[in-house]
Amino acid sequence: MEHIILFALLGLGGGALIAGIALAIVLTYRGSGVINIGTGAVAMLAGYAYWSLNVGKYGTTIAPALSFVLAVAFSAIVGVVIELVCFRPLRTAAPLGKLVASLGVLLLAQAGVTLAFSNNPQVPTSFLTTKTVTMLGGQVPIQNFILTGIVVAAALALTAAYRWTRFGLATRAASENEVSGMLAGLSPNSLAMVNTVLGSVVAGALGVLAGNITALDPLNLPLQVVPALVAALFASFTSFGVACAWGLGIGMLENVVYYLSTQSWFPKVQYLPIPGVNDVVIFVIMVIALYVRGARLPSRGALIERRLPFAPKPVHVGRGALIGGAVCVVLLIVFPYDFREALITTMIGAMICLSYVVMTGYVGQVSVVQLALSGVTGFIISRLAEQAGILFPLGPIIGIVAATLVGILVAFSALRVRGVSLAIITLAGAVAIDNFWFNNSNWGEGIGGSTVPQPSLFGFDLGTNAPFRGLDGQIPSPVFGFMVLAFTILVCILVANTRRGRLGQRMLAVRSNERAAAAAGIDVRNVKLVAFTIGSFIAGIAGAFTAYNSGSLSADQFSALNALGVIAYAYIGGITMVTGALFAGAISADALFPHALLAWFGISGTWAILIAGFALISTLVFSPEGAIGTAYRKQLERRRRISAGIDKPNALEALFARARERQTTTPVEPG
Amino acid sequence: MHGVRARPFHRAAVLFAALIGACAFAFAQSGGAAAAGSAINLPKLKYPVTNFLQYTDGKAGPANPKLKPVLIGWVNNQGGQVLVGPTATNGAQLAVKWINQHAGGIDGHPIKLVTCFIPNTEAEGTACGDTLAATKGLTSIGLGGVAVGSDTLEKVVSPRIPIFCGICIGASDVTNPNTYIFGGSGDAVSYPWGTFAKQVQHAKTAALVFPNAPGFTLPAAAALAAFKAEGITPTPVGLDPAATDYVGPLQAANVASADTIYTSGSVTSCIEVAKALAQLNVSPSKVVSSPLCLAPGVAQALGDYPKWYYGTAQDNLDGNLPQTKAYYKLLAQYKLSASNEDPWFCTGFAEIMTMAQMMNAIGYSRVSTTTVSQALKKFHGPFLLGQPIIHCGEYAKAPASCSDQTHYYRYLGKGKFKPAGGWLLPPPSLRPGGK
Repeated sequence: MEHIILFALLGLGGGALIAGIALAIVLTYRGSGVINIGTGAVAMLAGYAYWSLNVGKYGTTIAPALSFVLAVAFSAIVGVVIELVCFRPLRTAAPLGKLVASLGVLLLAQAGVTLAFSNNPQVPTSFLTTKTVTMLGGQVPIQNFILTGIVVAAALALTAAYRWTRFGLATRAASENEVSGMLAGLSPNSLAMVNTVLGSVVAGALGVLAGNITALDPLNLPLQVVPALVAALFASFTSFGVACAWGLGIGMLENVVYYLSTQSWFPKVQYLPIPGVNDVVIFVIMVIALYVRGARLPSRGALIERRLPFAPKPVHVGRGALIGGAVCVVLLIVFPYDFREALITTMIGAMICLSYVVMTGYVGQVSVVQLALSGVTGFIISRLAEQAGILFPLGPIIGIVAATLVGILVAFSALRVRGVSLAIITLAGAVAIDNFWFNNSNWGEGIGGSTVPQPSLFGFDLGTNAPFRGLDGQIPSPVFGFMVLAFTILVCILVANTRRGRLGQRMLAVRSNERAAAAAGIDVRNVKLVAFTIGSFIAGIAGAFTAYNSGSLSADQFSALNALGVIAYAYIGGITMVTGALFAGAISADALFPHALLAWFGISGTWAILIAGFALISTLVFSPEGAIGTAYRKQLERRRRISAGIDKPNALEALFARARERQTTTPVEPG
Repeated sequence: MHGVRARPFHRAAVLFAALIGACAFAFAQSGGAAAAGSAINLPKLKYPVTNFLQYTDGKAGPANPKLKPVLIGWVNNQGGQVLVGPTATNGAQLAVKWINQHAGGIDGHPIKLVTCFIPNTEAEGTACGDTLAATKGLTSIGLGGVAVGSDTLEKVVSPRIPIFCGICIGASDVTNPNTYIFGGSGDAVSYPWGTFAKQVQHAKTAALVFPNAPGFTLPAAAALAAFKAEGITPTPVGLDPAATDYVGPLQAANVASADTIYTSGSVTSCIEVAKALAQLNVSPSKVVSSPLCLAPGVAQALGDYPKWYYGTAQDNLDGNLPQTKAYYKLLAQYKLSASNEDPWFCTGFAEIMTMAQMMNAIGYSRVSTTTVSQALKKFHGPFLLGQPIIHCGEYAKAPASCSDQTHYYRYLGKGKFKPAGGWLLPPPSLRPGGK
């Protein structure tokens, strides 16, 4: 027991950092309704500001205390910029849109810091003492207690301020009912600004103060937002005290697990402690806690009902599939090898985004775990081939079924939780699967890699190395591209038909209002389960093709950060439309659009991430329904104006209008 | 109405999708492969190698820039978020420059690197593989510090194009066909940790602290096995890759009471381990690190490298060795002395110099992927600035590994290293055949 207490105390430092970021997340959410994934990045920016001022990076060396003050002031300015440029324009956007925009903040901050300071970690001068105190048979850094004290004091101060000050009461009033708040003379914009700036100051201050216990680099510190989000979710994005307690608790748990991992009974792999136990424990606690109290999760009373974008009924599905398919067949043959690879990546990316169209676009369930489900299929294919000799097509069938089953398991956590809360619980799930499964050398990425043999059927090679190599005679073979294309078309038809049928209507009813849907006789639970099943099935197919395309799998391919990226692509494209998913596929990592940027303009690596961050935020600000969604709405509005006689159709529109007219006058074949 | 009207198209689309699937079969059977080979006589050299011209088997003088170049692919993680050994590229480029200026290239033909960098993702490895596979006349592919993307790259180019590296850290590198890790695989060169702990540190207990992620668990598991083989009691603690505070995990591994501390990891984890050990007042003389902690980023962040022992497959740390003196002299000629102890710079340099030796032995007219593969199989060392003896394929579970010897140095500060123990082998029970 003494050891457990010792390691719990040793976890206070890391826990304080998580707690501080969690406090900042709660502050931002209460003010502007945004779950800011970029909060850790704000802490990182403040850390870099402190370090660069303190070491004289820009000419003058400034004393630590003054550097700290300036760094915190800088984080306040960052908060103002984020609020004005990113969050305020998206005030009426769907919560998912705001979440994705904050991902843009994260990407921008990471890329900006990498370009300005390189991705080499830095060690800032410690602002707090680095001495330790001997207790319980170990040495505990004194700064652990100081940091904990600061975070607890901050949580208490914020709680008091929100309870007893005019500003706090106003924020609470506006966040609970924005309309009433406005009627009472409160300005939601001003309140959002003050809260976001306060959040940035708290995150920035912790980013500097905790400089000695964490690496100052563009990766580690920003990603502390993941456990912080978990802590904030436990606090329902409302209670500073609970967020602080859970943040500290997560840090303590992590260190206790380190101690337990040295015990003989602790599960081992290759004689080494099994990875990811800590993440699994947190995920399980979270699922249980939210399942028990899920229905009581609060939602913000917003001025404007924030909904996901319009989900139009797909038309001309067959025609589109035929024309699109024919074009892709030609392109797969005539494209040079690099664009052929990018086209294949586009189709696979589109499939993963199509799974989001079903789950998020149609049913409103935001699951970050989809990419991890793709990984489940991929690693199962690899393991079955390596250890049991089970190859194509049985291997991928088993893999896809397994991914679907895991997806259904995840679905059970969605029964009591919805919206962005579900996004966070599935984010924790994705982290747990990644660390516990994919990083495990027995089940996931093996010590000698995870190879995936080329698919073949009846002696015919269907993989990237198939003998037919297109016009340039290079790999990847168009044969593999044809197989991916065939499945992409089938998945498109499946998703389109889901929307066109009764199931789609029921899904949209659930998305719109679960209680109303239930009152109308719709079995909400079954609809959600079916949506998760379809979505997981599609993600599994995409995972199988990812595995065969790369020929070898690594855990990094399916990381939680990549999963957030996929959601961002899906949302930018248009998360409610099949065509939106196809567009999302084209802009996803290493697909046609980024590859064209690389091939024609030489833009890659960190610059590509920087541009992606800008593109993400600007697309969301100017096209909050996604690129295709906005284009569709504009087209719809123009048609209405034309039919109302306000606008005149151009030649092409007139042609299409005549074609539609002819179609509607053609008699429909009976039966 | 549209939904009803679209049905014939819908059926046609399903049929079309099936047709595309059928097309896959129709195109599936054609093409072939070719192979050829004949005797290749590599120069017989003695360790240590101090004459670089002799090592490359070249002729003094510059290469003829008008002749067709010999193409070598070069892949590294750089330009993005993945940080391992970006300076390996600088080392490889220096070797190319030196060979083309002073060693006559390959029979007078200049060497040219076809570089492809993987900034962030595994998919970029596939893209690099596609590009290099499509490059006509490419003889081989060298890897720098590639932690992300080597697996996918290898699946595209292997086994057709031979791959070589000094230090390979990708998970599948050790088992990939037609791949040659001159400096030895992560597990093979970690086995001597047990020997060092026993013979030099006289250890009875060991703490192992490593990132619990693929790529790092292979050498950690090997070190664990080596400690056990030498009768040393190990306490392993795997760090969460996203961990922040390392004071807790280090105490869980009993660093205070352990006689030896094994650590390895990324630049970030090396820095954090160093900070936490200093905070706990643990003697640096107990720590034995992999050369990954000698990345320039570690010294840049901490002001200097931690004064630990470093186990390395290279000779570039001890400035008193004759081969190292020759290397430092060459670096000084190009005003690159700052790279003296950088393992990645050194390995990039040595890799290309070694490939030049093989290609000169083959002869320009016969250089191809097939003959280079044959030469790589016949190469028995010494490896420039590395192990005296090279034996590729000695370990059945790691066929790409070419060595299992490790040299240990104690860092004294200000760029000075002191050798400790010479080239050490794994404990006998872990060596092939128990020798």
